[in-house]
Amino acid sequence: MEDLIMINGLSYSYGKGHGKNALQNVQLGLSAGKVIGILGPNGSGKTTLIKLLNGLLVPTEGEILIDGHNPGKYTKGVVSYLPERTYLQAGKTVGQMLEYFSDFYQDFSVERARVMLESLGIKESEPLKTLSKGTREKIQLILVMSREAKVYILDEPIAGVDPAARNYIIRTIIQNYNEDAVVLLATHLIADVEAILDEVIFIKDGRIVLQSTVEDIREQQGKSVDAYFREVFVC
Amino acid sequence: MLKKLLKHEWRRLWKVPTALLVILQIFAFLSGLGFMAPVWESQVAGLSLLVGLVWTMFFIAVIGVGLAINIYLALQFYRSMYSDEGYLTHTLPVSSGQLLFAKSLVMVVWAVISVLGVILSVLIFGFTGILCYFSGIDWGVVISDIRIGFNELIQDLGVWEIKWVHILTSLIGVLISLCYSTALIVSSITIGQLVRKHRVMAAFAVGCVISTVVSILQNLLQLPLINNTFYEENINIILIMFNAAWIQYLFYLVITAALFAASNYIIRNRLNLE
Repeated sequence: MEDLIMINGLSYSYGKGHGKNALQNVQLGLSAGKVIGILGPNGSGKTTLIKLLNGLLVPTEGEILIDGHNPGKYTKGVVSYLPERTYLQAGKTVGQMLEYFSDFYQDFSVERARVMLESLGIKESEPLKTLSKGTREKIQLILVMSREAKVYILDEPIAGVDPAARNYIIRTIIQNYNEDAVVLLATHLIADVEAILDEVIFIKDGRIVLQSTVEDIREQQGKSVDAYFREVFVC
Repeated sequence: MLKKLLKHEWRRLWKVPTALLVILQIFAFLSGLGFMAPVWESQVAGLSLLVGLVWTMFFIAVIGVGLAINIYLALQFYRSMYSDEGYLTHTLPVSSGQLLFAKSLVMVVWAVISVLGVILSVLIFGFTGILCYFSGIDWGVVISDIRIGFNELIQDLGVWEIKWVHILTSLIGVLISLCYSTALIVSSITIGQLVRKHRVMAAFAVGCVISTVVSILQNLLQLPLINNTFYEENINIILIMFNAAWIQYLFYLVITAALFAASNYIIRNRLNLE
């Protein structure tokens, strides 16, 4: 099967005075139908890679192809992105955000989003600014996972949330993603997500140090991905 | 997609400027009512001071509302493009040009509305005052007097006649100026994003530099035209202003387009959200 995401010789530098490149000569091929963990410590280049995939940064060198296109108008229509930050517009209500997503994304399912919101007891008329940070993050996740996208990119979806919320987030991801899509999950909390991952990519100092299936790591290394990660990235 | 961008941008912005302009109209009416007070005849200490204070506050409010709306629009542009909300804005399946155009167009429309709102408030103040101060008004006489006074004023300035083309030119000029000031705000904020730290200060500094340079260049362009006329007798000021205005408007149009293109280039190639 042809790779849905192809990354060739990708490098990115934030400019002079920022030290070494944030990404150096990244070469990756990611095929559809998989949940792939991008794992690395803080500052390893995960978010930079994700921003490049979403067209939020322009590569210094190299190329990215998503479904045969460089990041731009087309890829933004097929990539569903959950950033680390809350990007919801404070002045809107939950219902207005549903309308917003429905207007701009052809693959957005309002009904699916409504079912998930109802299960959390969130009303569409509620203003976003009256909701807690955790609830806003869940709404953001619901909006992202209600799309029938070809690529889902989730940047640290479970960082900074309680264990019960983590389980909810992971369950929502698994139950709602398009199974013909590829899910990229960037995190440094591996133990919580290992069970849902098909493949992992280890990234360190802007370089890819490992791309393997979870099964292969367990067989060849005789340990969990979390344990192997701690070995590779020992301080 | 452009229609959707315009729709959502309008919805995002309309409440605060509308509220400010409505409050201004109410304040204008209430200030105009001050003409009912027997300011000149009253022995009550402080009455004239109080009424004068209200009128002063109204004129400050006229300037303040215009400024507040501009600042609000600039802040909202910054927020939606370069704060956390930018992660949603810049991942919409639209081009950077469409994004910039939609936001800029709505800002220009609100700039026009705020100018009209300010003019309306001054008219409300004036006419409320006239109604309160004078009784048995013949509006025909009032309008005739205003027209006579205006004609005397412009003749004192050396203007012999104003045609509709001059008025239309002025209106076009106001619109072009508003487009330029919107482009200045947008490009200053966008260029300010290129620095690592103190982006807001950088945006402000860039805005000052651009407006200064544009002002100098505009004056240099108009100088040959105006300079030669000082040696002519019986100069027609309106004709000179008319010709100079067209140079200024064309120049502003070119600068506006250049600022828009520069902003678009930066968003496409140098975006770096924090």
